[in-house]
Amino acid sequence: MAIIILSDRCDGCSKHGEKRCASICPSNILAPDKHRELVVTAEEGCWECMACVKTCPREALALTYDGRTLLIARPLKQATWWKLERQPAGKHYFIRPATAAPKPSPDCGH
Amino acid sequence: MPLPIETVHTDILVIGGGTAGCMAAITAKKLAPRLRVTVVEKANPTRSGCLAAGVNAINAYLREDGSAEDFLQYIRRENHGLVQPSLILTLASRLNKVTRFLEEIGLPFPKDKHQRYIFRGPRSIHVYGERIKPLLSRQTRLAGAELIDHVVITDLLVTPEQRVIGAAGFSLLRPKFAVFYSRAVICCTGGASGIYPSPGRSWYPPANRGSGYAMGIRAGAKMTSMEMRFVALRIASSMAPTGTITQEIPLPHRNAHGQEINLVGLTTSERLAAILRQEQQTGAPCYLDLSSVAPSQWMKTLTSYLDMCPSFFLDLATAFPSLKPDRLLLAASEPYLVGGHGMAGYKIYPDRNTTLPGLYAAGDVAGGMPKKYVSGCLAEGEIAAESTIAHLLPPPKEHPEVAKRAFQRAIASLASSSGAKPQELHRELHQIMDLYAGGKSSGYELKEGDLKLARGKLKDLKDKAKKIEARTLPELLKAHEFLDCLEVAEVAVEHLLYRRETRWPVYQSRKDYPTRDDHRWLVILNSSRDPQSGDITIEEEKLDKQTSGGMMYGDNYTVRPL
Repeated sequence: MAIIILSDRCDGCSKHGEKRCASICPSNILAPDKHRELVVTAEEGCWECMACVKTCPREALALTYDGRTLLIARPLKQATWWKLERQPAGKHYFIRPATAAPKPSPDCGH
Repeated sequence: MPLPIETVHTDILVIGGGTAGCMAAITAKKLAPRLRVTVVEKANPTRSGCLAAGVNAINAYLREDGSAEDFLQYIRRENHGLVQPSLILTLASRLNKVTRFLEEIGLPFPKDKHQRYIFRGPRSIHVYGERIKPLLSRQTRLAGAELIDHVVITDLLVTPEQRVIGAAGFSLLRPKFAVFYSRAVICCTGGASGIYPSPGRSWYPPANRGSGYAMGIRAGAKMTSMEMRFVALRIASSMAPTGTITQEIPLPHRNAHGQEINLVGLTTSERLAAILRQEQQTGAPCYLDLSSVAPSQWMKTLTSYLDMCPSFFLDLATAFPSLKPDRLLLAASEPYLVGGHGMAGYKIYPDRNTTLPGLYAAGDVAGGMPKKYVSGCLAEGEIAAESTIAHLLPPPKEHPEVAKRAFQRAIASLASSSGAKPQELHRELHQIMDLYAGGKSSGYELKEGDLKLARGKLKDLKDKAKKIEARTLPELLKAHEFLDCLEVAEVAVEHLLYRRETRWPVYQSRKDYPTRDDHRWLVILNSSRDPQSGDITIEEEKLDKQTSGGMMYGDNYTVRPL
């Protein structure tokens, strides 16, 4: 299992001043490579805590085991929302946490 | 790379912005609002340490009719008799209070219709704890403490009179070496992963590399019970906790032949041993039988894993949302040293002071108080802050020569160009510990001859590590993480050699002394390393029987054959 960075979604946090995922990582293992693209620098240091995924405003990071089934999370005001997305079709399920109030959008499954 | 030195004077320095560290800072500011309280954290305190992903249960919470004395008896049994009642009782009385504090700062807890917390096990309540760390760090800021992120503390500053006057380390964000002078230091770092190799996802955070232990060992502080390793029984692959399911619904543990394994009446380490024995006999992993779990119940359990271990959810994602698996394979982790589950850590006293004046310890880095978990770490942070303020020493004078020594040690590897890479050296450490000091691949078993080999090989590795090379700040972090693991491993090996009995199966299991010997070994082992000579001395400490009514462990407990 690993964190992947979806380069088509990542804008390098151009509006935020700092790379949010790199700044939040408890293991300090997200950094730009020589092409200035963000990469996981030491896989063995990743705890799969998903702090980077949760902080990304563009859903550009995900936890995955096959590169196609993506687990994405976003903390909203009431609770953290989770999304299981299957690529390439983009079919997805929202997982409603027990603390959540209303559903976020009409298309959510589960 | 030039590293300018920046000096900071503060009143109380907290090392580590995790559970215990945040609580220590919040308490200190509450008691003494005019004092300057500084928390230094090597990552970002919003999501760092053991609770980076969150937590779905508070595992040390006492029922209304449960007393601190009951908690003590529970730990006495679980710990096979080695307990320090004064540490346990001072903490037990605060567990419920600090849990309510979590609710006060905004963490949601499920409640029953009488607005009471919902129990999951005898001492465990449910919590929707995904946001515990953002809330705790926010509260730390609101309390007025200053949080400094991405600064890696490498050494405590100790005067020739052995008083701790601060700490020093380097920043990961910009070339800078920070020297903190303070009236007291509260060490609240995590335990140690990375002593033994991890075959997949680590049970304990890989960022917690035992740095808090290592800086204490180098400073000459006493460590306790470093032979009590902790090995977790987990769900294979994701290393997710089994308790989330089994505390809720009593599920059978079965061996590969489908036979139920009787675990009734066993302690945690005995249960682990029983399961590993079945695995050995059948040649295949044991499993949790989920056939009796209703699908609706399963969905609730699955989502509660998202609050703590999202990997588990994703592991089952191919089946989502329609299917429930029939079984979950079990696996044992590699050994760790961690004071929140086991007893390894700083030798502390009821006030959470260490053996060095000016230095306190709380949370996973503090020894002698096992099974404290999240609420215990909060309680310990609170006690440490209260005692720190009650016994605050005057502000220390600057000691440039002490700071300079810390600086030189911190950056030594930046100057080297011999090519000993931190990752390569770390792999060598893993190999030594795994093969000769009871790692997973050697069945966790320890033997005197092997341990002596480990001792020699670690010494050679330490010589080799003098030429460790780092070119960038992230590499410098890796270099220090390796050096800290090595420091801790050396002390652990001495402790493992010293205890010539088997106190806890799997955790500390001597092939050459396979039985528990309460007559000889009902003692706590403390060690210290002479900062000058580097020699490690171990001393035995008699159990503190006063507050336990003098009852010996062996009096009411018999060993069950597995």
